[in-house]
Amino acid sequence: MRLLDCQLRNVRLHGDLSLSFAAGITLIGGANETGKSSLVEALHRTLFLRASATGPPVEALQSRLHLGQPSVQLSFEARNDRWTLRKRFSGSSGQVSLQSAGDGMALSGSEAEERLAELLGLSETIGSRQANTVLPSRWAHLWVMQGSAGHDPLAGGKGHYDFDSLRSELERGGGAAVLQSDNDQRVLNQLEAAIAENLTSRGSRRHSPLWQAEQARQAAAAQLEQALARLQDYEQAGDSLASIGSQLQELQTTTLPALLERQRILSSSSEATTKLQAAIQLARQSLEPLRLRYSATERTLNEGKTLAKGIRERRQRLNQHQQAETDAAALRQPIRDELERRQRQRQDLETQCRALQGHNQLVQSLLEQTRSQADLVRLTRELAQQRQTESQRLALGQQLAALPAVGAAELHDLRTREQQLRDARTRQEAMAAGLRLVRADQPVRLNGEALEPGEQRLLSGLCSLEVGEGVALEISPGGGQTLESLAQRRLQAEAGLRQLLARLGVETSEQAERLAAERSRLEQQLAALGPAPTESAAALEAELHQRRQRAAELELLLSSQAEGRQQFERERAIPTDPAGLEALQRQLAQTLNHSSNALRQADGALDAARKAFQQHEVAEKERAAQLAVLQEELSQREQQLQELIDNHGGSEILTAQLAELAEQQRQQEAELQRLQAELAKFSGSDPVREQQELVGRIEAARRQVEQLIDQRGAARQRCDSISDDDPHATLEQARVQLENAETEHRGIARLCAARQLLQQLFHNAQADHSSRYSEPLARAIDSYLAPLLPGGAASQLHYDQASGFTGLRLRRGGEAYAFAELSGGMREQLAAALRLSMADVLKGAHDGCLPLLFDDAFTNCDPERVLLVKQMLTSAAERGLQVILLTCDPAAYGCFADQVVNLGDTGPSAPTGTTAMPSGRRSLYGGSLQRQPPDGGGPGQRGDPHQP
Amino acid sequence: MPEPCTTRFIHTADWQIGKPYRTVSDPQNQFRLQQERINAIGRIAAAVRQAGAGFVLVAGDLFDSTTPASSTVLEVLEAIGAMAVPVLVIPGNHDHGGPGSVWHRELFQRQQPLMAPNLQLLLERRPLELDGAVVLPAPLLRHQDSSDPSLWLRSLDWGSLPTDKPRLVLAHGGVHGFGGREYGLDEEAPAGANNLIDLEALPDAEIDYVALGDWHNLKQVNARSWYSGTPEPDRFDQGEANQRGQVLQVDVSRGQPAQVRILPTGRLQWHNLRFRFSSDADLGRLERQLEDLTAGRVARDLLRLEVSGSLSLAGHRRYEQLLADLRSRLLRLRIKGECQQAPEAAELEQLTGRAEDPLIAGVAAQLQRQIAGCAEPDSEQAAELRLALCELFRLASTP
Repeated sequence: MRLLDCQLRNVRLHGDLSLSFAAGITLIGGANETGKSSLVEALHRTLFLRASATGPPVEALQSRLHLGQPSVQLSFEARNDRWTLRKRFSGSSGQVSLQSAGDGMALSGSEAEERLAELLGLSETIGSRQANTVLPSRWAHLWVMQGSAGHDPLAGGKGHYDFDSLRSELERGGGAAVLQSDNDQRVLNQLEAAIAENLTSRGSRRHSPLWQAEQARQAAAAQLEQALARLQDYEQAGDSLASIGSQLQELQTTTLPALLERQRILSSSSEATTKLQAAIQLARQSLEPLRLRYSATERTLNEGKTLAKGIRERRQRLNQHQQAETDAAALRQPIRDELERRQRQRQDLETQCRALQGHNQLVQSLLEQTRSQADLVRLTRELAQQRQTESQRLALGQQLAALPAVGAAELHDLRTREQQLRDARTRQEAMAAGLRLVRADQPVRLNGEALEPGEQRLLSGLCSLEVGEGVALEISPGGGQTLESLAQRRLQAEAGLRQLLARLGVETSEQAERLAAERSRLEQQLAALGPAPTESAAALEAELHQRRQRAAELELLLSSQAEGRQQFERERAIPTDPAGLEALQRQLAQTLNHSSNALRQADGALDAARKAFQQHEVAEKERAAQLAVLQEELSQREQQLQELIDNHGGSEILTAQLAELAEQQRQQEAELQRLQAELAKFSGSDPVREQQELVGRIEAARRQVEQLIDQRGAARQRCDSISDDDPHATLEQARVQLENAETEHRGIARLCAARQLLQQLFHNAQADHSSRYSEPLARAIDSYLAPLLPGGAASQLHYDQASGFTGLRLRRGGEAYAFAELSGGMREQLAAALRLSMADVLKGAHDGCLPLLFDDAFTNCDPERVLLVKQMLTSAAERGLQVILLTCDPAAYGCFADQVVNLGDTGPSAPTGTTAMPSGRRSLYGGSLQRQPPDGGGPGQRGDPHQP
Repeated sequence: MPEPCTTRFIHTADWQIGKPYRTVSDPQNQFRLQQERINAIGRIAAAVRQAGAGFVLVAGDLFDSTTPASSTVLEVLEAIGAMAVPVLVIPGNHDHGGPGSVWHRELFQRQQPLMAPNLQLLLERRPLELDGAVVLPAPLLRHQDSSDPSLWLRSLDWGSLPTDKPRLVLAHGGVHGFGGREYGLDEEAPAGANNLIDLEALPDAEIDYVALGDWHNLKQVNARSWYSGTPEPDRFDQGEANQRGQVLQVDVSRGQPAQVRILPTGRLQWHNLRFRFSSDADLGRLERQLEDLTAGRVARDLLRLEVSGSLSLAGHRRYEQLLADLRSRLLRLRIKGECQQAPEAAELEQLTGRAEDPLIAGVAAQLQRQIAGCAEPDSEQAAELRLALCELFRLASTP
């Protein structure tokens, strides 16, 4: 559906206003009071309000400036046809006509209204009655009236945004599957009704079946309690009846007769008391001597028993001691033998050790002697050798000393000087001029000295050359002074060489070389002899002497050991070589070590044997002493016992006496007790007072009997009255009722729970489905907001069948903000994006286009944001939507509209001819007002999505 | 020494007259059940006549409680009065002889000599000599008496009793060594007496017969001790061999083994049936079983039906119908357990297969999954889920 153009007549301040709408974006500018909102309202009413409607919405269109009824002509495209709608709002006589450009069909009256509603996708156009209530909700999601740009488009509820179309379009867009059927909704409604029948949000509903079941259950429980109490009451009454009966029996058969008997006793005389007291005194007196005798006899008997026991014990111990003594005597000899054996053993070992030590010393001496002899031979040989070497060294030294001291250094010096001389000579010759006489026919003289032909001379100084007589030449060679100094240096070199040769005592350098070679040879020979020995020959001689002395000592020692040696040699052959002797020595040392160990062990064993012997002796002495003591104690006790028997007789006699005394005592005590008990009957308070008390008690008992009889009657009556009601049956009845009530309640409660469960599951399923509704919208919103929120906006909204779309939120920086929490500018932009998104969804049912109208809808947007809003709107236009933007500040939008209309030029009082001109996107505002051609399809410059 | 005489008597117990049967909801059936207990006295009287018994021993629990309705007491007195022989009664645990109980009620005390002079209430524990026997009563005299009521017999001077007459112990309660006091699975059965009678402690040779009450089924405890059981069954019982609805005709003489004969007196039939539903086909099987059990009788049977398993929704509706029919035919129908209803595959398909109703289909499928995932199929949660599914089925299938 797309608006093409409109003509307003007599609508408020518009006498006659014609303007056309671009297919894409139309910007309608105009200052305040230029009639922008009047235009919007007129268009809105023309589309949605019956021409015949009356009342404020119609009256508001009427003009005070222009005569005539308000009338509007509106052309639009819908259902692939072009329509012209004319409405004249003149109350109930208002007229409407709708003409199709396609087939030329013209409708009027209610037919036209119905067709219009159908073209707009509505059930009907609105009459007077609904004008106030429903009219504002018509296309409220597409058209933003002035002042409502910051409102949440969803806040008005489902009626304000064509919910049903939106849902069915979303379902269509979401695939063929129906997301929720009428049947689903019906079942859910029935379910909710069924739940509501029994439950409210606070619990069970009053007078509902569940409530009644609860009440019945409570009542039954109370009844059961009552029945139980009643039965308990009955049983208690029965128990108290039984208890009263037994109390009565007790009183009548026991308590009262006893009191009466006591009364009788008390009334008899008090003489008996005196008699009894005397008898008790007597009995006590006779009891005392019996007790004394009994205890004395008992003591004597115990004493005898103790003595006899002591004697028995000591005899037993004496026997034990004697036996121990005999056993110890038998042990004495073996211990002594063992001691002696150990002593002998030790002596043998000691002897063996000594012999081994002697042999060891002998072998040591022999070994030392053998080694000493070897050392002597070696030392003598070394001494001879040393002496020979020394004489050789001496001879070489003398030869060396005889030779001139021409060494390598001197030789080097000599050669250096010779070289210097040769150098001087060569340079002198090089500097001198050469002169050769080739031929002469006259005598030639040099420095007066004649030169022969073929003679060559070297001129190193000023010379005079005479040829014949007549010719004399003075020749001076080129070097000048240098030649002289060179001659000087040569003379010095020759003198130095001569000096050195003289100092070395040689004629020539060749001689010097020979001498140096001779000297080197001798030195090598001396070095071959090795270094001079550190140990002088004298030291060697001293050591030799020492060795010889030690050998003599050893000889002496060995002769002293001759006897042992002979003995040892008898046992075994003594080797003479050092290795054999060393082996023997090791063997002997090992044997000696073993023997020493054995000796130490023997020492330990001997000590132990000695200690054992000493202990044995001490123990024997102790036993003898103990035995003597025991014998003494025994005889003492035997004597005491005999004395006791002599004085008191044997234990049998004493025991018999004791039993007799005990019996006498018991009899006497029993008699005393009997007397005392008899006396006790009469004792206590004085008889007169007791008599008086008794009368009182008897009286009380009788009163109690009467009371109990009364109580018995009452209890019996209670029993009878309760049992008349048959409490057992009542109890059973109550139990059954409670059980039934509980079953009933359980059933209903379970049904309620099952229904609530079902409801929950339905809601869950819906919520699950709801995202399929809300997500496409949210995605569309996000795509519109993308230029506004480069960080990536994420809008959210909820969907449920009952309340439609709700909860519009915007997620920014990780936090979601409710619509109301956003800034004014953001609210405008988000609402606009939502409207565009809805239109995007809805346009499918309207030939791919719906007109969106924004009347001063971005007043809170700063200039930067306006740019982005423009992008958003352009994007909407590119998607096929028609955007009509009304603003009092068209300059803020620059040039982006396909068509610009300015209402402001003529001012509020402009009577007629306020027209709009096609401006193109880049046109300036405030251009001349011209009538827009009726077809108005001016958006040539911008890419119309429908005309690629 | 006089010739020992042989005596014939009737041993009965546990009449439980005045049992309220409040668990039976229909008042008319309730009345029938109550009345049948009184009618049983008439049948006992007939048995007495037929057997030519010399007297009747009632071993306790003649009344169901200590507080029967006055009219019931009068009816009992009338029925007993109609018997031509002495009827010797001891109180049991239900109708103990304590003060305030029925036996001490003014009505009873006044009317009994007039209406049933042949009734002898034995409230004292001492020998009672009749023409043909010595009766040794062990009445229960107090509410909650846990002592052995036969204790007094252990110190009895047996030598003082006549040697030519049989000695009959009349007692109420459980006995040592007999543990069968539980009434099976019948949760409505009240607890028995809590006193125990020690039969072993009684001198074997001095006693000829022990007439016991309290156990409602026939039971011979030892050579000379019997529970007669109740003359008219009064509760559902589980035991297969439990025999009820009879009195015992006893021929006994001093020092001779007693001869016992069972005389039937019961009229109503109490059935127990356990049934498990595996499929709807089981309904037919149940119907046949019920037919066999009640054999076309009307208002003479009581049934305790323990059900388990589940039926389809349609099957469950048939099942409910069957129960409704049974309720009108039987004196009482007691249902134990639960026959679950769960939509069967085809019914479920009607819900989950609704492509056109996605919410219903989705919710049904989810319920089905939750039911399948329920670890305990008998739990309340599982029952709730099944009920929800059934409710969904009901809502979805009713337009």
